[in-house]
Amino acid sequence: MPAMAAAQDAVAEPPPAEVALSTDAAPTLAIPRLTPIVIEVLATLSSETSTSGDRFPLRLVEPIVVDGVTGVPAGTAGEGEVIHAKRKGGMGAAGELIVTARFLQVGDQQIPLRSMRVGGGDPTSRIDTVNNLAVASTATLPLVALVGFFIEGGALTIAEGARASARIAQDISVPLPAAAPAVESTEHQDDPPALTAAAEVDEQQGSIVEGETE
Amino acid sequence: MLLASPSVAQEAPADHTPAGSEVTIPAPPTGMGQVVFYRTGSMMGMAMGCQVNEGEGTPDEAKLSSLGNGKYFIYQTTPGSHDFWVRNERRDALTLLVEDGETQFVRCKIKMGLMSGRPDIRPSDTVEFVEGSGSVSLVDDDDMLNPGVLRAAQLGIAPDAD
Repeated sequence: MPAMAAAQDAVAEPPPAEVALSTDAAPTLAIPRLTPIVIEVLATLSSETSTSGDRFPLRLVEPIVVDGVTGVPAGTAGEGEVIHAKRKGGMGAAGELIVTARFLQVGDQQIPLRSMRVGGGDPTSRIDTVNNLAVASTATLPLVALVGFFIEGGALTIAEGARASARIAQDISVPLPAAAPAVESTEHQDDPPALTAAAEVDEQQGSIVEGETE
Repeated sequence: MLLASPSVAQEAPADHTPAGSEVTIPAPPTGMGQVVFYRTGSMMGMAMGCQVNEGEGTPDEAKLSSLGNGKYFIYQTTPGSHDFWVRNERRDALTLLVEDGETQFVRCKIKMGLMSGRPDIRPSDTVEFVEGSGSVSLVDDDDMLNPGVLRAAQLGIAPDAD
């Protein structure tokens, strides 16, 4: 049932639970916890120059779409944090760098993020979510997936513009833009549009992603 | 007529064992995350232990366990930032962001020092862990120094199995 029709029906009878439209509240979109997203790092981070606690800007690369409704547009700004940084040492000791995505800023609201992985990887994986950048320059596993990620002489660098995956950290509702366009979603294509989503995120599926060893 | 036995009908517990690993890793309990600390077998510092601690000079300072040569342990803890460290000749530290429902890997290596070996901890990953999983066994219960560290019985491993 289209969202507007649902709102009109609400006059005569209680609307379906998934509809969040009312006459005295702005429409919102519910985004489930663990929804995967793609972000772009907007600063260069390095094991040689970054320090724990450094904050860095990021932005949303692809809009967050739930059941065909765009809740958070591409380009939305956010912030990440350097969790751990250690310079490369002598005798071939590689540098270490662990970063995380903290939030996206939507108006006055911060959408908390988690599980950041640099260079793609499987956003549904619950294993190995540390950004394992503590690798040696002799890494032999494929680095082609690690766009914007460099290892040079044991120093680790995430270049400005590097892509990463992350997840929404908790169930959250965001206000819909005044005229939020319904877009074709690759997920839930058979589902009717609704303003409150019940998208399932597969929490049980653990898998392995590419990594590097010395 | 075939009937499913209760064990078949029940849903298997979630498992975080990486594909190819010879070490079984359970999923952390709801609302918790976990870190797998391991040390593959090596001639360097063979007799030395790699004692992993958490916090220093803070109320949560605690010894977790000591990794002998070719040992591993699983530490389940609350989500958030955790500071781990090791020390012998020199101190080495690693901060991790533990996230609920997730498993991370940390490797300890004994590196060459001036007078003796010096332990070094650093982030690892599933690929590296799987490569070394054939050469590691669970730390002895006697060396489990923290209630958050899983004992052999909790992992369904015979205590004396190596």
